[in-house]
Amino acid sequence: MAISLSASSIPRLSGENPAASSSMSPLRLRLPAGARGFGGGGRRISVNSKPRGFSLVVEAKKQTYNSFDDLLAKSEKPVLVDFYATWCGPCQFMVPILNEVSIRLNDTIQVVKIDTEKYPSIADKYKIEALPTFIIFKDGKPFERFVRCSDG
Amino acid sequence: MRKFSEQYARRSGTYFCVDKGVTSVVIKGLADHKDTLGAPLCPCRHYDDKPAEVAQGFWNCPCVPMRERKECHCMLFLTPENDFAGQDQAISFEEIKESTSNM
Repeated sequence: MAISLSASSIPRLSGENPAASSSMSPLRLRLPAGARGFGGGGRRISVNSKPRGFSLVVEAKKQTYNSFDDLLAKSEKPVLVDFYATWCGPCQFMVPILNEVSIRLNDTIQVVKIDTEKYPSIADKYKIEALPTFIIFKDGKPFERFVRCSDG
Repeated sequence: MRKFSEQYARRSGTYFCVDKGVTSVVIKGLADHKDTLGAPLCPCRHYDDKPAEVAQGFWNCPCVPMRERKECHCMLFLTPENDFAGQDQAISFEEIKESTSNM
């Protein structure tokens, strides 16, 4: 039961050169169908794992976690999670903005997007209602959450 | 749902977003729900039980917040003073198709 977390277009991301700028897109969490929230196993994948050839999307880096909770627990940086849906207009509006945030705050936070249609259990767990909802997780726990106001 | 959106925008004195991509995505989402659930449930929300929500009706477009307070979280119907409001109350099928073709 593996979860793939993928980031695209990272020319080179290594632990010993954290100051290097990288064009990191938000990490997209991909779970196999039917995956439940809590992982067992404890298979560990190195942060600097090499790209694998079987992925459908061209990606420079792929990380595998056993569950979303696992991702939160293993992350050293705060995690900004974007709960979205494909046909939610404002969610799509935020895509380029989130990309920019992810690039600029690359060393500070990790950006993850969760498709609430694909992973309703995660959305239910965090009581997501309006979309997009952003939750910042610190030390694996929700620290701050905000929903966009449509007032200008 | 495109015709509905145009008519409702005119009727409510609201305007589509300056970024018609947002409008297109929402209209597609409404149409998608109408096809699968029988009613245009708001595509910008997460639901525990979609058929139950359709039956309840609160979030069927135009939803209660929109009807009562002209609040459209989807940014489909925007009041003129909203920073994101454009000048249009119309959108063509081609515009929608183009904006949503790569999704």
